[in-house]
Amino acid sequence: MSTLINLRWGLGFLFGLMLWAGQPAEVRADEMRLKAQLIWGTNQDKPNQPHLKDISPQMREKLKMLKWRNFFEVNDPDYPAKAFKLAQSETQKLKLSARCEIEVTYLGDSKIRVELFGEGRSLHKISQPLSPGNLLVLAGEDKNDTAWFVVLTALKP
Amino acid sequence: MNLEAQLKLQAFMDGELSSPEGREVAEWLAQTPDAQALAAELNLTRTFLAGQELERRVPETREFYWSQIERRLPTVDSPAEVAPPFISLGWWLRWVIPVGAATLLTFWLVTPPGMDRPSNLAFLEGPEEIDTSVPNTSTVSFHAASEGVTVVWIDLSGLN
Repeated sequence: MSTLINLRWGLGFLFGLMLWAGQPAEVRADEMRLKAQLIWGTNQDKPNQPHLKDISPQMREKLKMLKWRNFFEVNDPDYPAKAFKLAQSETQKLKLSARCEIEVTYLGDSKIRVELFGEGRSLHKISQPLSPGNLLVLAGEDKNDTAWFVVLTALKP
Repeated sequence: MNLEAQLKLQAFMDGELSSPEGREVAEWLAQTPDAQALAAELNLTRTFLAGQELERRVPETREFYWSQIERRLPTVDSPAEVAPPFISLGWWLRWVIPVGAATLLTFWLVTPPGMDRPSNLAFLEGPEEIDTSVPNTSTVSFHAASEGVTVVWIDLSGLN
């Protein structure tokens, strides 16, 4: 009986070691790669504006749960979409438009803190884990039943 | 507000309550500020989520559909005729609990505090801390685990 008990606990120890050893090296990285985009959602067709660009099919798939039919990336050359890297405890402030900024801090362990600024005023702060491939979207209403979306994507290492 | 009251309010908002019960909830809602706040939040969520649940239709009558399912359910005769499972629940408990506990213990012991945990635990993602810095604004958050998307809707209409 004691042999059987030892066997069970031994198996558990072995599984635990395998689980720990099986982690890919990159999940222990002390930095995080992110991309910040400003997206506009509307139920109208694409207006004739040079700064609006179609979003990728992958992004379209992620946003399909929302009620707007069309989404466009606001591609102002003065404020382009940014891919950036943050070391642990590092903070970057990014200007996504003339009126919209975000400040992103990497807290470690895939966790980020994002503060949203509108016309220089802090509007919202949020902290949460964000795995590679996942999105954090801060959104609000715009005029004529449209909406703005600040989309932060965690990129694969 | 307890869980039962919240569920009842959701059912009321979805039109699922009978008339007497619906009237009761409507009266309670009119007198309870907490419930009114929750009702407003549920309404706001509804405004930016697309569509409602799709209605699924089958090309058969309700009675025929359910009779097919009933016919396929195995009949259970007297207990003596039901063969015992090859692996009993007791066997699973005797193995799963010690093996599972030892696995977890080992895992946490070999990963010292302060080091990164594996990202596979990040399926528990969702906002951990939210702070709206501006008064007269409100937020609604929802997390779609299957899509890997967290949306925080910020209502700034109170600022105007």
